[in-house]
Amino acid sequence: MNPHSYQISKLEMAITVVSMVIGVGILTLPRALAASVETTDGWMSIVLGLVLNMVLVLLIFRLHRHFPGKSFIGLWGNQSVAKWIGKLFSIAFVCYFVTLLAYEARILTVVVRMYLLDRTPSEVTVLFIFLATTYAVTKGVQGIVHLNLMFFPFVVFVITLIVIFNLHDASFGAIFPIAAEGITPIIMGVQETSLSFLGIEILFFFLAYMKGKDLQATLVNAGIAFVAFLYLLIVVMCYMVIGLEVTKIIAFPLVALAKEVEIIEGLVERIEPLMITVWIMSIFNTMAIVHFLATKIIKDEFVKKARVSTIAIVITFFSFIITFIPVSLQEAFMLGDYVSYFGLGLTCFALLCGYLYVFIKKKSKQQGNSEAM
Amino acid sequence: MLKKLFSKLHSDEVRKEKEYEIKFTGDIDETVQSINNIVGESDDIIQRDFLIGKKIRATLFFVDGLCDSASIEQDVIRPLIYFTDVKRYDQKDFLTYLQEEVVTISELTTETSLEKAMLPFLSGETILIIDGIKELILFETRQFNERSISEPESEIVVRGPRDGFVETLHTNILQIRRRIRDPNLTVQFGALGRRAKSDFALLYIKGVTNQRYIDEMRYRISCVDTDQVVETGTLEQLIEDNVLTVFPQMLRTERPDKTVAALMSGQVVVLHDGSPFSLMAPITFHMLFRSPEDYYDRWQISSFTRLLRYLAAFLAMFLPAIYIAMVSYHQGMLPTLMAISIAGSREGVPFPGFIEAIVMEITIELLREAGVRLPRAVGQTIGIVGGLVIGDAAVRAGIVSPIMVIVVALTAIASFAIPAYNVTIAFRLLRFLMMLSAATLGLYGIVIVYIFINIHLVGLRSFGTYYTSPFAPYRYSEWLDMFIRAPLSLMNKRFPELKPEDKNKSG
Repeated sequence: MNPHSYQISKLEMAITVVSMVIGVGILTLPRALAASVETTDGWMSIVLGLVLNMVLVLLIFRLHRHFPGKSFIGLWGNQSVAKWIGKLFSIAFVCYFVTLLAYEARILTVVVRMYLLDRTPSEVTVLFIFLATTYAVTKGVQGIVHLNLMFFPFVVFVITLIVIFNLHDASFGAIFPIAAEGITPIIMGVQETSLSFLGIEILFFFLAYMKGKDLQATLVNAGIAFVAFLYLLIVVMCYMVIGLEVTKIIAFPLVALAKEVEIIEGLVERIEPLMITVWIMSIFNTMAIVHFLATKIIKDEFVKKARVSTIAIVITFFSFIITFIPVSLQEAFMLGDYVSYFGLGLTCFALLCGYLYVFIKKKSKQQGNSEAM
Repeated sequence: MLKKLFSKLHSDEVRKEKEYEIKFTGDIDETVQSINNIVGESDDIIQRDFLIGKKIRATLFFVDGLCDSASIEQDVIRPLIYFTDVKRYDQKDFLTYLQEEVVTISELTTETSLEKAMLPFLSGETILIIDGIKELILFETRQFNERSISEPESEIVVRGPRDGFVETLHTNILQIRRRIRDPNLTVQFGALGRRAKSDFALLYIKGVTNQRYIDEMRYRISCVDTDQVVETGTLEQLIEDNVLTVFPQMLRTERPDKTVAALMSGQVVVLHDGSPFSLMAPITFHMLFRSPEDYYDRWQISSFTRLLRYLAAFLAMFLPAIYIAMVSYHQGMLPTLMAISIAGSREGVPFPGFIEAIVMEITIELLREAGVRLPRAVGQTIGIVGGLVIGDAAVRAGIVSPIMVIVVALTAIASFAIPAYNVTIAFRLLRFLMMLSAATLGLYGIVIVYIFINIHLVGLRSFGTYYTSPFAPYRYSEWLDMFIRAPLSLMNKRFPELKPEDKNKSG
């Protein structure tokens, strides 16, 4: 009954990471890949991006094994310099999370306006999704993790459905020849795909809720491998069903892919509203996690006395403003790119600093031991 | 502020029962006078004066009708009046002597305080006062008039036992005892209500039910501080975790077999005198879809009906909302021919989809409520009048479209397919919320409300257990008994979310 006694099991952690990673990226990835690779070899970039991210996950787990039960911010402790580094990191992470929240909300409104409600003002759709995430934040870490578990099967089910029902239209020849223009475009694509796995940085905070002996990266890595598998399926299906050239210019290729689906002639004419509906659950998961983490960091580090709901509402306010800063879809995507680069950079930098800290601590401990002797 | 109010209520001096705190002097007139002061104004309290062995003055008090008067006459009055050994009266152990060798009644107790004697007296025991003795003697002479055991009307099964609980606590416990002959089945009694002091029983199986739930239930019940608890439904509302939810956090049933199954799975059961419903806790969301019948039929049949029930819940909650969303926002989703036929049937209907749906839904809710209240013979007629006449006439008058009638009828049927009535009400209420959101934001509104309900559910607890288990958190062994009901030979574990002390139930 005590929320602090709640502990995330290994599988729950894996599913949380999967839910976080599958967000906006899955809609736009085929286009981004097609644009940057310019051949149908994008799927190899996904595999490479996966390997890169698996290493990152492994490193995060390794780092946290030194500090079981502590989040990345918490591990800096209360000593003078380390404490301020922790504060700086928390500010950076809060900025990152708030902007990410705004970006996801923006893409959500664009998609909803495009495919579901063409006359409803964007502000209204954003407001409702923010209401939902704010409510979710008040349920705490247990609520957020359990919500991921509840919506995860829907998302997987719909993606599988889209892939299966497109199989009869797929022309398998479209992805050949493999590596026609050499390795260089594939490497270029990795830049794109490594960003699409972003979301693993939540491990910095969620690992605090795991038991020390559960801190093994295997299941989480299996989880992001599963995401990579889904990405791969979708990207390859996009190339095989709607073609490389078309994929390059469509804003949301996955929705276009869903458009091609025809379930048992005449039962449902268009499946993409249904797909969007389920995808809203997935993007809600991502947003709820991000919103929760931003709230949590602020509460733990800056205003310990404020109520969670108050902080969540203030964050909503700022995110709401940021959501409408980009004027066009193009600018929104640019914002997304900046956020992603910032996130990846932050993750790598945080890892670097973390290991450095561990190293220094060990050193000083050894020194302390030798002095004592 | 509320806390202050509550503490004020508790300190209310009027409720204290000081008038009963009377010490006996042994003078019979004085004792009789004090009893008469308390209950003498009631005409159904009977006072019977007589002489033991023609010498010693004695008085009996009992409540007319609650007691077995034949037993009082045969086992108490007759032996005492024909008693001859008056010499023993002067000895110290006279009372023990009377108990052991004179009175032939099966159960009796002695009491030194009138306060403690009042409750058994008012529930049917007889008080005997003997001149010169400072104690009261209480004879167990209770008798009940009870309804005979019949099939529960709110939970009918095709395959399964036909007996149901009645309003008498002891008969209900008997029905459970007859099914579980385990010495670990524990039955504990208590009294509820400051004034009514009605009996309740707490049942659990030692070594199966987690001690935490037993203690929690006991604690919550002991915190109930109200004049009277009439039904287990009242008790349920007073001890549930969250008052601001439409979802029940305890299950209720009229069926002894369902209650026994709950006990066996490690739940705590509460029975209350005067109510044919037992309460079971803790529960999870998926337990709302279980019927005892699921375990009596073969597993393929049960699995099919389980899936049907989940479908029914989905339809009961979403169908009118989806209809509204389709006709008002997403006409493109429907196949062209169907869209045309719907549009054709809605031609001439003056209202938008939402108004049409809400009018019909309210009509059907009215019909259902009226059908429950009416005498059984007329109730059938209302069904026909409402269903056929109003439905058909509304379509002909052009107020609603025929498709709307199908939607409403399907929704109503679906909501009856869920085994527990109080669960159905939860879905019925949420349906209106869904319809409202579909009318304002289409499918987006539906999914947002669905997300809201899910957030609410993950935050909900029933006696500290997660309400959405075995789905969140994952408890795989219980998945065998969720959407499908696996063969019994596979289900050999108790539901781990209930944290039973004995984890295996078979093999």
